[in-house]
Amino acid sequence: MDDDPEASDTKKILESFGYSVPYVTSTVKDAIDKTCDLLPDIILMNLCLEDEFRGIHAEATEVKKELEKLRIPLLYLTTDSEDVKTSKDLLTSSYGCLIKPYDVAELKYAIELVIYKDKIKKEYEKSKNYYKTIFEHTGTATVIIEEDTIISLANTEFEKLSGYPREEIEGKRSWTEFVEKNDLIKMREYHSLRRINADSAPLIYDFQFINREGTVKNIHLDIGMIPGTKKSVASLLDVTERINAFEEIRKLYETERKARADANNAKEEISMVLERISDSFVALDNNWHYTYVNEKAAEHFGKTTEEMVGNHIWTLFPEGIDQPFYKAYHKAMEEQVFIHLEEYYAPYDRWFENDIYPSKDGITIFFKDITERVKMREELLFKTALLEAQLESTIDGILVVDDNGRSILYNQRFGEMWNIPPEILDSKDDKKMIECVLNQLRYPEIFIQKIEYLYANKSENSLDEIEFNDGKVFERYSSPLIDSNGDYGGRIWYFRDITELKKSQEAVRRSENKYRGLFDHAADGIFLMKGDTFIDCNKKTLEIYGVTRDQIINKTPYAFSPELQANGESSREKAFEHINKALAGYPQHFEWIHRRLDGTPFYAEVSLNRVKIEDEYLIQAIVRDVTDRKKSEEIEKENIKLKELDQLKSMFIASMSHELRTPLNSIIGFTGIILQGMTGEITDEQRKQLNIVKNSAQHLLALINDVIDLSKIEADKVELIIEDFDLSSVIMEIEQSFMDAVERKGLKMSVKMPESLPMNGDERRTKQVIMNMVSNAVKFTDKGKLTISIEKNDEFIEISVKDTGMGIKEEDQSKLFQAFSRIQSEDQPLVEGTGLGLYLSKKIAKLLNGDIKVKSQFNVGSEFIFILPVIYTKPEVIP
Amino acid sequence: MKKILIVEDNEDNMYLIGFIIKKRGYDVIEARNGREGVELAGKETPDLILMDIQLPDFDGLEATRKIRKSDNASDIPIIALTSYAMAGDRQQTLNAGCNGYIEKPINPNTIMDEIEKYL
Repeated sequence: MDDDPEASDTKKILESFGYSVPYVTSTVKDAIDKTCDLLPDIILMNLCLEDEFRGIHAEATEVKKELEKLRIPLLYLTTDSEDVKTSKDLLTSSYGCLIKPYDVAELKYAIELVIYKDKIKKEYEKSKNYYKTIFEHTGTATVIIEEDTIISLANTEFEKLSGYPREEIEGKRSWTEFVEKNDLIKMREYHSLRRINADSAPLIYDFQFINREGTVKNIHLDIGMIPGTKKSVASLLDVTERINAFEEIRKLYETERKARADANNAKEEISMVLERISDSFVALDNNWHYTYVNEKAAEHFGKTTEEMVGNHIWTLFPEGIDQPFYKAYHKAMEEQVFIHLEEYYAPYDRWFENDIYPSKDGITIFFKDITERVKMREELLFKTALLEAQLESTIDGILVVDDNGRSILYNQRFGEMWNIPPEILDSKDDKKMIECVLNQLRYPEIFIQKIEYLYANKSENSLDEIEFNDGKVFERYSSPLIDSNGDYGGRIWYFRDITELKKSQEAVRRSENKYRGLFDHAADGIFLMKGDTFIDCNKKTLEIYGVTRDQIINKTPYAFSPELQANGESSREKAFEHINKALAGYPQHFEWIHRRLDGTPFYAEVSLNRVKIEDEYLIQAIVRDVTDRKKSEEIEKENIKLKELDQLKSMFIASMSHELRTPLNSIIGFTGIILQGMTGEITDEQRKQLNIVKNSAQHLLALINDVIDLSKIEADKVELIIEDFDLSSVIMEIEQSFMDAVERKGLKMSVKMPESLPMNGDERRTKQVIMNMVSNAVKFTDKGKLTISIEKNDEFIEISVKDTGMGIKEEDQSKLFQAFSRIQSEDQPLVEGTGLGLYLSKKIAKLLNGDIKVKSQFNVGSEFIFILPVIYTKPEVIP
Repeated sequence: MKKILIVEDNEDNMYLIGFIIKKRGYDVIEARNGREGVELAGKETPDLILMDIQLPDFDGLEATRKIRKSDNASDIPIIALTSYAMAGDRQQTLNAGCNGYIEKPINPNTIMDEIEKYL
């Protein structure tokens, strides 16, 4: 019963072991129907079936009932190790549980174990039923007596004899309770003798039996031991009536002698008494003539009393001459002794018991057909021996207890496994036995609970594991013994030492868990294919393909590929080719476009390798989703392009710096020479025009320089030249260079600073920033003054350039430091510039570990403050 | 009369710088490439060398190093003519053995002040 596709594989495996697997189904209903028809020896059932009877629920309800009726063993299969615990706790009728994926050998072992257990159990029940039937129908009160004299089994005849119902006898009463005080000594003698040597004890005893009502009965006891055990079987023959009758006869004979006259009456009286006796009974005179034959005896011989009385015994039964009975009769007659004889009587092919009592004028013989009893005893001995042999030959420790929980049978292995000293085993004292066992166990409470539970729920089976303090593990299986009438007759316990099995299972499981863990948590999709069919996969595979397990197992890779691969080849053909090559032993590595069930494609790198699992070649595939890598490869390509472009840009700038500046060199240089008058006098008009040329050239140069700076800063290629310098002299130089421009605009410029301001940093860059600040102040101020001032503490220098210019609106202040931003107001003419000045200044200030801040009020003026560390420290490079 | 060697491959620049220096009353020796510059430095032993850095054969840095290793020209002051874009090179020129540098494009108003610092 398995809905798993592996079921058909399991079928194959089982068939290879020589089992016939007539039916595989995935539904419980179907299984129940088929089970009734097919009557299999074992049913394998998956706990996780997909219909209305799911797993354990199914067990608990329909299946259990149905299958229990049929008495067919069930072996559960499950994928979840949690189920094993559940199955052991709840599925008491289970014979075990096998966790998937299981080893083939494990499966075989489990099945054989179940079949073996079931066989033993059934044979035991059969054998028990068999002898129990005989036992019941011997017609003689019979009991099985344990070594400690407790009666463990009694039949109906014994119930009648004792006056107690069986429940009050079995396991509860010692048979000695029924023995009259004076006879106890010889009965005890029997027990002590047979303890020394079973054969040394006499087999026949006569004693007085006292039943429940206190009535005394004369018992002829036939007792003997069951070979190989400490049990005795005892047949109790009630001879009370017989002895009474004999007494009567004796008295009558005496009376006869005294009063022959009353002989006729007396005879009548005798026969009245004798006819009441249930035994067959004859009396012979000295001449071997029958003087009395009771009805029962006549019936026995198939004759009437009249036909026999007065006739010679050996004339009537010539076939009896020289039989054992013939000799016994003669002996009793001649030697005047009592003889008890149990013998086979060949002419009738039956066994008889004779009690021969001598008298002066002949002998009296009580006889009884004991064929059944003898047969019973032989059968019992034979069966018991067979069973014992079976028990001893198994690897399991076996204990059979009766329905009162008393042990009635155990094998040697049981004692060995549990380390129970022989004297405790022999004592049959279950309390001592349990006590002896408990201190070896890790969970003694659970052990006891289970026993109590099973004695309270007599029809339950159970399977569990018992852990020992020393690490041993036993499997404990218990099953009730139920006879053909459906009556409970005790319980059989099997104990198997599975320590080694557990250890190896544990080792396998641990290594399996390890590999399963590696498998499941691998960063790549890993799956197994049988041919081109997925048979197992890890979690990552499901994630990559965007599927559930059910959606992928038993599918082919084509189901997850577009029709064509990137190069236009058919996915199906190409995949087939790769798989075949891999199966031929050539590992395959390739890129593959997959398609998820939702249609989205993904790029994967696939490796196929052939692996051999259980004599079968499978393909292990490793799939790595490289969509991201593909993307990053594309980005990488883009990056390379961008880098190339960037290089082009750098080359362009380098070239520009050289090529654009060379002509500027001439323009600026020669206009300068001419303006200086080195080449002769020039007119005012010429001077004016040449100045325009010179200024334009200077502006162009500034623009080029800014662009170059910008590209360098953005490429992080600015090289600072750090040295000690005097900031005051730098500012003085700046003041000098702007003197003309300031005067030309009619402005005033004041500088407030100490005479000397030594600091450490990049002089040129510092100057560039301050120049830019002053240049801006000059540019944007039409009247008023410029103030350059310096404040200094131990760490920082603040260079402030303050003007009384147009100022900057608050909303524009944030744009100040952006590249190419030029703040323009409608009422102001455009002031020339690159729009890069402040942007660059800010960048440079940051490079120098400083900053630039602005305070401005529109139409009032602006103040730019350049903050610089007194000593430049190289920022730590974060790699 | 003091002699100034100008090593410069660009004709216009050579003319411009030479013009300014001659106007100031110095003799000018012209070299069009590094090799020539090194040769003339040893042969003419000028009082100062103006060395352009970007030259067609070996560059001004190498020429400077060669002059510094030469027998009779190793003490002559050398001023590098650097371009603004090569700002990072400025330190290199000093490392190579230059005494100072003048940025191109030159300023005719100030170039002689720069030069005369080293004479």
